[in-house]
Amino acid sequence: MTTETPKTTHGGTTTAPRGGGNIELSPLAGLVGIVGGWLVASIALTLFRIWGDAIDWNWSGGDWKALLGLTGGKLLFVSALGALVGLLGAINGSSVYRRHGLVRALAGIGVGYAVGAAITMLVRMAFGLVAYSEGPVVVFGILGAYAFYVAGLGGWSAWAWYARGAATPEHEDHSNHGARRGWRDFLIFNTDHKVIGLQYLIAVFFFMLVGGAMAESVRAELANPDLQFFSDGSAYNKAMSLHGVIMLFLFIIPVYSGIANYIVPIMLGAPDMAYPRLNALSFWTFLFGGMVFLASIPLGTFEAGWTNYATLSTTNGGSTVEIGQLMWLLGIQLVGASSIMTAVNFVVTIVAMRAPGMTMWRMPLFVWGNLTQSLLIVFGTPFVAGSQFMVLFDLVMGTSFFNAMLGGDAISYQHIFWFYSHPAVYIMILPGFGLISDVLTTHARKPLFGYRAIAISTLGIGFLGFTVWAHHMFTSGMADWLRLPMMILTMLIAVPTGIKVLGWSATLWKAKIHMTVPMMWTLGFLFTFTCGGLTGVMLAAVPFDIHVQDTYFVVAHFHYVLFGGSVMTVFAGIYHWFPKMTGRMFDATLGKLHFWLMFIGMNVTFFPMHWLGTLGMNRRIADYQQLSDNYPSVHGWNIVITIGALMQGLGFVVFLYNMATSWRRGPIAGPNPWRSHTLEWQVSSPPPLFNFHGTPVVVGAPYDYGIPGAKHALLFGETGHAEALEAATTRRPVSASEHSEAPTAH
Amino acid sequence: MKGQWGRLAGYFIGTLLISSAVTFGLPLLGGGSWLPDLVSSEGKAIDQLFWGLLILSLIIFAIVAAIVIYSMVHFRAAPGDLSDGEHIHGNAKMEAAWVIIPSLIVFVIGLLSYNVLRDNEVGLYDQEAAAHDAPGAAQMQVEVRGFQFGWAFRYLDRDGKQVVGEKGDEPQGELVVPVDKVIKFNVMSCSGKERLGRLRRQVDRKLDAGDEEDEFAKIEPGLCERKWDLTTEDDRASAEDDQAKIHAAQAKQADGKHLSADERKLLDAQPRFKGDDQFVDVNHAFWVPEARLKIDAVSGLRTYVQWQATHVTGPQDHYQVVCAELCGSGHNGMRTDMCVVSKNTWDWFKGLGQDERKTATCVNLRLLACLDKIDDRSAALEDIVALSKKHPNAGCDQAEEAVA
Ligand code: HEM
Ligand SMILES: [Cu+2]
Ligand SMILES: [Cu+2]
Repeated sequence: MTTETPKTTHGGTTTAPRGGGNIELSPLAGLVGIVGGWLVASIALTLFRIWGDAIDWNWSGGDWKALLGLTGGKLLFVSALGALVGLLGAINGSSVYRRHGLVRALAGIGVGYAVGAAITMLVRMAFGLVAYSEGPVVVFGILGAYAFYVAGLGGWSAWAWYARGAATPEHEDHSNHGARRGWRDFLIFNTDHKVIGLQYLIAVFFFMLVGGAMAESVRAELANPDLQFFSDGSAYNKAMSLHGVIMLFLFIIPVYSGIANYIVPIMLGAPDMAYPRLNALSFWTFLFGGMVFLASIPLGTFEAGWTNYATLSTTNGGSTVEIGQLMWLLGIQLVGASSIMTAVNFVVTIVAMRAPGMTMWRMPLFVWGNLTQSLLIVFGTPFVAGSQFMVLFDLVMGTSFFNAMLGGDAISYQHIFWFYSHPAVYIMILPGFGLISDVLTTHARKPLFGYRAIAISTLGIGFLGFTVWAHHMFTSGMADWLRLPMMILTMLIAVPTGIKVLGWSATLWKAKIHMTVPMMWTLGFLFTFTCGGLTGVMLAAVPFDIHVQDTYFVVAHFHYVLFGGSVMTVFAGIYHWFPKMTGRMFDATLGKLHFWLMFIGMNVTFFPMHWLGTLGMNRRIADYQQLSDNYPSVHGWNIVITIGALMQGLGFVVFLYNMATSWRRGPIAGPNPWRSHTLEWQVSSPPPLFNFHGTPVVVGAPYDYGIPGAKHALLFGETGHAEALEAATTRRPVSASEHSEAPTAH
Repeated sequence: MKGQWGRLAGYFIGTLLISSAVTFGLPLLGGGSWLPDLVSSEGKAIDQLFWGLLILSLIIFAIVAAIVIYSMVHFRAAPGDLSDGEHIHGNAKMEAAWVIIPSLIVFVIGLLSYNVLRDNEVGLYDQEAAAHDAPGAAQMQVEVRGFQFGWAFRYLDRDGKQVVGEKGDEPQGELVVPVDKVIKFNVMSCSGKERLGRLRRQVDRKLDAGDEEDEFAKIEPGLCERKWDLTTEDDRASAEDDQAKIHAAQAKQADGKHLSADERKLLDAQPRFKGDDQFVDVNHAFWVPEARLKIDAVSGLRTYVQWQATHVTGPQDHYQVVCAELCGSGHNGMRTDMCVVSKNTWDWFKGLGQDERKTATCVNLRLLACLDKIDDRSAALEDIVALSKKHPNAGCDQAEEAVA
C-alpha cells in the first residue's frame, strides 16, 4: 500500500482553530435555541400523536404512535432533548462545534435511531410480521444511534481513511490532540490521554451525583417504615437499581479509567497511551452507554437490581415496562465494551511503552494495580456481556436460556454473571490499592514496606479472584459440594489482602507523616477497608453466610469495601493529583471538611447496617414495617442511617464546590508540591502536550524516600541522563525510545 | 525501643476495648440486639461461629488500627520538617509471618465452618444417610412454593405422603411446624399467574408444537394452581375484568373488525391452551431469620434446607418466613407468619378439615400454645379466634381467660 504525502487539511476545513479562543455565542441565540428546540420537538410530537390517535393508523398491525411509544413523560423528555440540540445549534457558530461535530453527534443519535428502527421494521414487514415490535426496534435503534453518534464525532474517520489507504491528517497535524483551546477541547473526539482522563473524571462525578441522589432517595424512603417517599415497591426498586448500576458501572469502574488515563502514561515516561484513538472511542462509548442508562429514567427504567438476575430480568423485572430493561441491557454492553477497550489499551501501554530503565520492579504500584485490573477486565467482561446478551435474547427473541419450562436453567445466569462480577469487585479496588501505595509513600516520606510482596499480592488477588465467583451463590441452590472449595478459596484471598494492609501499616512505622488531605483519606481508608475486609471473611464462612446472604449485613460489607475502600482511594487520588491535573492547589480546609463529613457519615450510615442484617432486615426492600413491629430498634437505627447518608451527601457537595472553585482560582501549585519521586511529578503541572520534552530514563526504585538524593528517573537534559539512557537501552534490546520520542515540535 | 512496644500494646488494648464497646454495645440501644431469637437447633452452632468470627475480626481490626493510630500520633512530621522517614523497605521474616499466620487462621475457620455445615445437613444431599435413618436426618418434609408474591406450604411425611389435608386441598399460606422434628424443606418457585405474559407466550409456542404433556407440570401438581394463587378479592376481580376484555376483543377479531393496540396486546398475551398449569416465576428465597437458614426458590429446580424447631412459639414470638431475594415490586411484602406447635397440637392440626385449618392461623396457634394441656382444641380455637380478632396483641393471660 502506498502512502500519500500527509495532507494538512481535510474536509474543506482548515486545521487552525478559528478566532483564537473566543466562543461565538450570543445569549439571545442560546435562548432562542432552547425555546425553539423545545417548541419544535413538542409540537411535532403532539401533532404526531394526535394524528396517530385520530386516524388510528394501521400499518400491517403496527400503530404509528407506537413507533415511538410517546406519552406524557416521554414527550417532556424528547422535548428536552430537542432543547439541548437547539442550544448546541445556537452556539454552532463556534468553529470548534462545526469542525468536531458535537451537534453532528447529537443529531446522529436521532438519525441513527431512526435508521436502525426503520431497517428493523422494513425487514419485519418483508417477512410479513407486525412492523413495530418494541424489543427489536429499540435494540437496533439504539445500536444505530450509537454508530451515527460516533460517526458524528468523527470517531470512525481515521479507521475509514486507513481502510481506504488514505492518509490520516489528524494524526499528522495533532489537531484533535491536547487541550490548547481550553474547555472546548474537552468536547471533541480528543486523543490526548490527559484530556481523556479529565473527560472521564468530569463525567463520572456527574454520574456519582445522580447515583448519590438515588441513594438519598432510597434512604428517604427507609427512614421510616411503611411507604412514604415512593409510590410503590416498583418505584423503590427502580431507584435502588439505578443507584447500584450507576455507582458501579458509571462511577467506580470508570473513575479509575479516568485517573489512570491521566497518570499512568506519565508514570511510565510515555508520551501518550498506546492507542490514542481507541482511547477516545472508549470514552465516548462510555458516555453514550451512561446516557442510555440515564435516558431510561423517564422511559420507566429497570428494576431488577444491578445483578439483573434471570428470571426477574427476563420478565421485565416483573413489571410491564420493557423498554427500560432493554436500555439497561444495551447500556451495559456499551459500557462493558468501553471498559474492554480501555483495558486493552492499558495492557499494551504498560507492556510496551515504559521508558528505558522502567523494569517491572521499578513500576509504581498504581501501574501494577492498573495492569492487573486491566487483565481482569479483558478476561472477565466478556462474561457479563454474555450473560446480558442471553437475557436480551430471552427477552426479545424468545430463547430459553433461563426459562425452566423450556429446558433453561435460571441458576446458570448467576454462574455466568458472577464469573465476571466477582473479579469485578477487584476491578473496582485493585487500582485503588495501587493508588494508595503511591499516596501513602509520598505523604509518609517512606519506602513501601515489602514492595515486591505487595506487587505480587496484587497479581495473586487477580488470579484468585477468578476462582471464587460462587461465594455469591451459597444459598442459590447450586451444586452443594461447590460451596466448600469456594469457601476455602475465598478465605485464601484474605492472605494477599492482608499482606497489603499490613504492608501499608508497617510503612507508617518510623515515617514522617504529613497530615495532608490525600493522607487523611489514605489513613481513613486503612480503617474502613480493614473493617470491610474482615466482614468479607465472615461472609465466606458458609453457615454464617446462609443466614445473612441478601440482608443488610451484606449491604454493610460491600459499602465498607466499595465506599470505605474504593471511594476513599478515589478521593485520596483526586486530592493527590489535583495539583498535577489542574496546576492549582485545592482548598485544604474544605478538603478536610469533606473528609470528616464523609468519613463520619459513612460509618454512621453503614456500621449499623451490620446488625440490622443479622437481626433480619433483608436487602432491597421498600418497607420494613413488619420487621420493626417485631424488633422496634430497627426503626431507630434506620433514622440514624439516613442522617449518616445526609452527611455524606453534604460532604459530596463540599467536594464539588472545592473542585470547581479551586480549579479556577486556587493558588498555583508548581510541578511537585508533595516532593514525590515518581515521574509524573517531575514535569510541569499540568504536563506539556506530550508529557516529556525528551525520553526520560528510569534509574531507581519509585519510593526511595530516606536516601538523600535518591532518584527514580532522570529527565531529558538532566545531568547523567545521556549515560543512563545509554546504559538502559543497551541492556534492553527493544528500544522503547522509539515510542517515547516525543514530537517536540509541539 | 522496649517502651515503644509496650506503648503499642497499650494502643492495641485501647482500640480493642473501644471497638468492642461500639460493636457489642451499640446494638443494645433501643432494646435491640445483634441476633433475633433462635428457634432451630441448627442455629446454635451458626451463632457460635458468628460470635467467634466477630471476636476474631475485632482483634485483627485492633491490631491494624493500633499500628495506624500509633504511627499517626508518634510519627507525625513536625511543621516545616521536610526530612524523610527511615529507609526501611521490608523485612522478610515479618512478611513471611503475615503470609503464614493468616493462612493458618483461615484454614481453621474453614474447617470449623465445614463442620457446622456437615452437622446441619445430615442426609440433606445424601440419600443414603437419609434412607438409613441417620440421627439428624429429616423426619418430615414440607413442600415450599414461592410465587409473586407469597408462599405456599404442603406437609409430607418422610416418604412423601401428604400428612395434612387431602390431595387437591388449598395449600397452607402460613408455615406451621411441629416442635422437635427435623424437617426437610423442598423449595421451589412457580406461578399460577398469567401476568408473566412473555414467558407464557413462550410456553404457548412449545405447546403449540404438540408437546402437550409438559414435564414441568408434573413436578408438583396443585401447588401452583391459579385458583388459590388469586387470593385477594381484588386479584379475582381484576382477573375477571381481564377475562371480559379478552372476550370482547376475541369477538371483535372474529367479526373482522379493527383492533386497537391495547386489544392486540391483550390477545397476544392470551394463552391458547386450557388447564391449570404451573408457570415459571422469578427467584425467591425462603428464609426464617429465627432459624438462621435460607435457600433460594428457583423455577424448575428443587432446593433443600432442613432444620429442627426447638421450642413452641407463644404469643410473643412473631416469627416470619421472609423472602430474601429481590423478586419484583411486592418483594418487601413477601412475608408470612410461621409458628411452631407442640406434638399434641400438631396431631390435632393434621386432622383438621380444610375450612377449620383456615382459622388455625399462626396468630391463633401461638395463643393456643398457652393452653397445651387442654383436650378440646377445636372448641378452644373458637374462643381464641374471637379473642385475637378483638385484641391482636393478646397474651397468654387473656388466652387462658378467654377459654376458661
Ligand atoms: C451516600 C452514599 C451511599 C448511601 C447512603 C448508599 C446507600 C445504599 C443502600 C441503602 C443500599 C441498599 C438498597 C437496598 O438494598 O434496598 C445500597 C445499595 C447499593 N449500593 Fe449504595 N450507598 C451509597 C454509596 C454507594 C457507593 C459509593 C457505591 C459504589 C461505589 C454503592 C454501591 C451500591 C451497590 C452496588 C448496591 C446494591 C444495589 C443492588 O442491590 O442492586 N453505594 N446503597
Ligand atoms: Cu465475590
Ligand atoms: Cu422476594
